[in-house]
Amino acid sequence: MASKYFGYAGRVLRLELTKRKHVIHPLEKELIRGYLGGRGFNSKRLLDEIPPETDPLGKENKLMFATGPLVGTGFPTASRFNVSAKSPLTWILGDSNAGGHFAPEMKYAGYDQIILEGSSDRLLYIFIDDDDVSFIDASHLAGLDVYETTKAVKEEIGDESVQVVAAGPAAENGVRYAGVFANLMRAAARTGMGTVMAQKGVKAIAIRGSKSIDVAHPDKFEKLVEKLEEDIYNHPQYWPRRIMGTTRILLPLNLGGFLPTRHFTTGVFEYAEEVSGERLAEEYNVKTRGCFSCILPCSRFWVIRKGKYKGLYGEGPEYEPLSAFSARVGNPDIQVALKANDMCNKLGLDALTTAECISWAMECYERGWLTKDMADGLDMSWGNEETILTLIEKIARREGFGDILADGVKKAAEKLGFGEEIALHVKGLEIIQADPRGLKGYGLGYVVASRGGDHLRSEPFFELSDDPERGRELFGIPETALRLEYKGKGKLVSFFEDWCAITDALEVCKNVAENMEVLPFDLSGEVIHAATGIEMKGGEVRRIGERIINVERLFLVREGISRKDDTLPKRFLEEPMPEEAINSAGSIFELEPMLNEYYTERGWDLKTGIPTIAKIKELGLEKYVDNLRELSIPLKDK
Amino acid sequence: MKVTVRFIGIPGINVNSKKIFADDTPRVKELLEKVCEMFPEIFPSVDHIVDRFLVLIEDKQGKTTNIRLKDGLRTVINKGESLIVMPPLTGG
Repeated sequence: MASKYFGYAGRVLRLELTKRKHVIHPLEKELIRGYLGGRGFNSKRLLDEIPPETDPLGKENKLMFATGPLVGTGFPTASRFNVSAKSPLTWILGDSNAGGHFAPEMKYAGYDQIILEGSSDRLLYIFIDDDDVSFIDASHLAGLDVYETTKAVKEEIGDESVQVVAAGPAAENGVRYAGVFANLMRAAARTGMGTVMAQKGVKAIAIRGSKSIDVAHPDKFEKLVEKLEEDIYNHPQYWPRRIMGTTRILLPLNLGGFLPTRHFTTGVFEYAEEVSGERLAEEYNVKTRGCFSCILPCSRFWVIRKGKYKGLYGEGPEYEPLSAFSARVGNPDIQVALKANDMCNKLGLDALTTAECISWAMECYERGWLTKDMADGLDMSWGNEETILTLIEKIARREGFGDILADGVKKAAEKLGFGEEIALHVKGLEIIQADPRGLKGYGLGYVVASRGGDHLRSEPFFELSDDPERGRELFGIPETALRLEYKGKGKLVSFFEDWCAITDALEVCKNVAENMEVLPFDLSGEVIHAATGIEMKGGEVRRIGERIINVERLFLVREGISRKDDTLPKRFLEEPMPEEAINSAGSIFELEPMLNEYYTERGWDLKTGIPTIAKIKELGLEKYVDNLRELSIPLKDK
Repeated sequence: MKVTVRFIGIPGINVNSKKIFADDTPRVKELLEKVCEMFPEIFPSVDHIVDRFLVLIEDKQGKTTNIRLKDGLRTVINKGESLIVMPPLTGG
């Protein structure tokens, strides 16, 4: 490859918080070739730099922001960053992704990756102004919410255009699922990355850059950008996504009978119409808003014009928080869901984990395990508005019953001594808003996801296509196209995991690049070549995705994760979907055959779920074999 | 007979459903032709609908089947059944 960096900024910024010093070093070219960017850079470096059993809230943990080679160019949707560390919620790989405008500004300031090391003994915010780095006392920002913090930092710097990521009071209070928020509401919310940032003594990072990003083959790059723009504009999902964003899927999930309702006790919500994306678009949306360089502005500004919350406004919400604070908690009022989401954004909480903790407590109450007294006198009935909103505040402040919920649902069940069997998480991360009994590929995705129970590691949407002929054509198995079938889902999920790893490495939007199928592996190779000058065929691009998945698996394996942990809560394995979930009625999740197929597809040992030595070597990761052996991890040759 | 066609997540259609008058036991194609007549700017042709949208048949109990899994446009709609037209469903 050429000696000059094309596509990349070419530098890594390390911030040593204990000494308040910084070091800039060149981006390692072997990292580019092997991992492309973003999530790939972070995952590889976490494996190399975070020893097993590191305390996630200790000085030894590192918090890494990384972006990709297309970010900062005009490539559609290339606006994102991953923020990663060992998670204080799950004690495995922590990682989250957000869009907005922070990532391109990182590139303009000259950095592909920013790494926070050590910890400060007092609260700071960091201002990165191209090559100048300032560690600024932030004691006056302590306790401020995400919006107030962002505003205050911009005002102090005196530049409205400076880009800021901030943590809220939940993070400062040590809630284990607090996120990092860019552009106020672009949440990298999952797995507690805000908690790590705040516990390192950092309230916010502001960045401003004046450099530019060169691409290797500008003419070719421009043609590819034009092609992508055309493909996006002409896609049947363009307008639905533009008008409703991801909230457009709430009604179809309800129709399918897999909309998690009242803590997954059923898959249909009788108030679905009232809390749908259509309702939001008709009555509350004001205008759309896009991330940097995006031609599909799917985020929406909304305002509540009448009623109790008159005057409240915000951006989004995505399907997940809207659905979580309506169907999951049994709340029929869309305004309450908007208010709850707004509170989570301001307090800096992961809305999904928060909603799981609240709905879990509600089910415990319904079963008679949790009493009103134990819940600070709150009425824990389904959908109780006061309870939902009060608990969000209490969790963020770690007050009373909120303190019990502030460590996540797994720990809450352990602390209270009941409800473990209905705590809906995988590896400590609370699962998302789609019932795995009605979406088996997605369910397998939760089971094997490297950050725990989440869909964004795989998004195997193909199983919703109902097109068995295409299933046969693409994967050799017709059932891959049918959501209620389990056959072929191992193959499907491994394919889509590799694809998601590439979108996260390129830091393009998964909703567009993957869900709308506009950036497959072959085309990614073309784009990478045009942007960076590195020749890469589709097969090699997919191989990088596979390498990222395996590096993340090795990180988990070092922390003691194996086949025993690749599972779902009992509810999904033993309780069939109820009759009223008509289009998914009677369905149950067949874990074992799917897992066997997945491990076989991945080249991982069927008994342990650990990558075999042959697979590790095939991916050029042989240097880790001795390290794994020293930790007495059972490795099979093949 | 009257057949209900529901539209989910299709911008530009400001109604949740439309009743379509048709002969007894109409085929899906016939109904979609009428949908095209009602919303020519959104659905210029039946082929356009089939290529770009999901068409589901919903029975009296609410059980749905993709027309591709039945017999496509030739499928007969019986009394009490309705049609659903929506964009292909992907992730959120």
